[in-house]
Amino acid sequence: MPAPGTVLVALSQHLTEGNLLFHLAATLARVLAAFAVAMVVGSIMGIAMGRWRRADYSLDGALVLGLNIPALVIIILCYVWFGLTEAAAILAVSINKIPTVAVTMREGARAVDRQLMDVATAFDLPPSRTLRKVYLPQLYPYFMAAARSGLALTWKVVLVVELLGRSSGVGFQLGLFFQMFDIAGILAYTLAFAAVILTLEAAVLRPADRRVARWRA
Amino acid sequence: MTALSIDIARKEYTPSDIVALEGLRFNVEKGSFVSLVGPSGAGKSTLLKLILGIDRAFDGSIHFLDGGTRIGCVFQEPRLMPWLSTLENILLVTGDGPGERERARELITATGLAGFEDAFPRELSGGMQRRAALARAFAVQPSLLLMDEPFVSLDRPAASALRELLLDLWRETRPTILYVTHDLHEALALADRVVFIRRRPGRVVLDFSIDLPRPRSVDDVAIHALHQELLESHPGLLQGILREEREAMPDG
Repeated sequence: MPAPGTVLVALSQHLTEGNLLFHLAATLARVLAAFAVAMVVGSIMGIAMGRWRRADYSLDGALVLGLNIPALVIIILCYVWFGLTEAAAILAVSINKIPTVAVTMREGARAVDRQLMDVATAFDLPPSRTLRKVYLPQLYPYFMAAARSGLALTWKVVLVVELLGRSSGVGFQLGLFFQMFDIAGILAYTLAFAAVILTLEAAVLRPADRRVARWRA
Repeated sequence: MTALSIDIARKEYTPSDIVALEGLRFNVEKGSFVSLVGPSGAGKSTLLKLILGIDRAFDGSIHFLDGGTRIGCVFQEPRLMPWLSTLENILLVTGDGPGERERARELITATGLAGFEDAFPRELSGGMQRRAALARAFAVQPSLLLMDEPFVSLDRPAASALRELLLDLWRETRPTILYVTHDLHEALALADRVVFIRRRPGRVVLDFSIDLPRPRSVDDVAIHALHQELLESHPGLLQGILREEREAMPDG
């Protein structure tokens, strides 16, 4: 185990002389792309399943399967079927994340308050306004919960995807350091990436959460 | 002129097959205040859902005076959107524009909620939430106002104040009001006419016009006298049973 000082020195070296920022940016871009795809697809799927019993029946098998297949299997299959491409990498990460988003959003859609929806019907609100002001606000807490747990899962899987089939990113670098047994390098990269994730959490997710939950305080 | 014409041949709940309403027919005159009184389970709330179009599965018809009927409603619970402020809750049903904002603010003042425009529902007391719900209902400038025990579970002074407020607003714009309650005192004090319905299946058992001069209040001697008189001639009225109606009598 290297001393903390050694790790910090390694970190500053990678920052100034190495390509840490380049790899960090590559990973972050993949995280954000996969995260966005998973949130959109997972939300639509989950809301549909919570809303319509038919959708729930027909998708439930796929959902249970998706929740239980190891991430590694999905990653390998995506690379084998779609080649070692950026799209395959992002697809693999998204597929890993979609089921958990869908499960959370399904709970949200099931918990929608009929009485408030009846208000919208009684006052004959236009559908778009009902969606924006009556329906979706009931799903925001679930969306935020899915987003937070989602970000954590996404970046863990992105690193594996990079290790297995990309030539850039934090995961790729960690693989190199592993071969060279460079533990200081591994810890330096981990530190840098943890800092990025914490910043994202504090600067984006937490304020968004506060804004959405303003009325509950 | 008839503002609302109700003719429910049959309404049953699936899958339980309970017949909620059967042969329920009555008309409501334009601009009048009609109370609907019946025991719980008489299908009063069900009827309002049918009129509001929340539930469309029934045999029969409901006709409005013309296509331009604007419906406002107040439910048993305030049912404000918890994530919208008082002002936003009103603008939700009217749409947002300078004119709508102006009118919403007037109603907020009229309902005694001035200063609470930006408060969220959880910051309002139960009585204030009901005021906001009343303001929301009047904001659409309704020609027909449906109310489902709107002031239930309030203390007496708060309920009285809200009834006064309702009558003031009614006098100003004169919407047709259909007011569901199980409180006969309240019905007699508020309405021009009380329609009594019986339970399962719900249907009209007595249609009673009130000729007492306004203003009246639930505590008026005349209201108490009328209440007593009605119950003396029809002891089972609040259970939805008329003396004349033999089939409904236990030993008839």
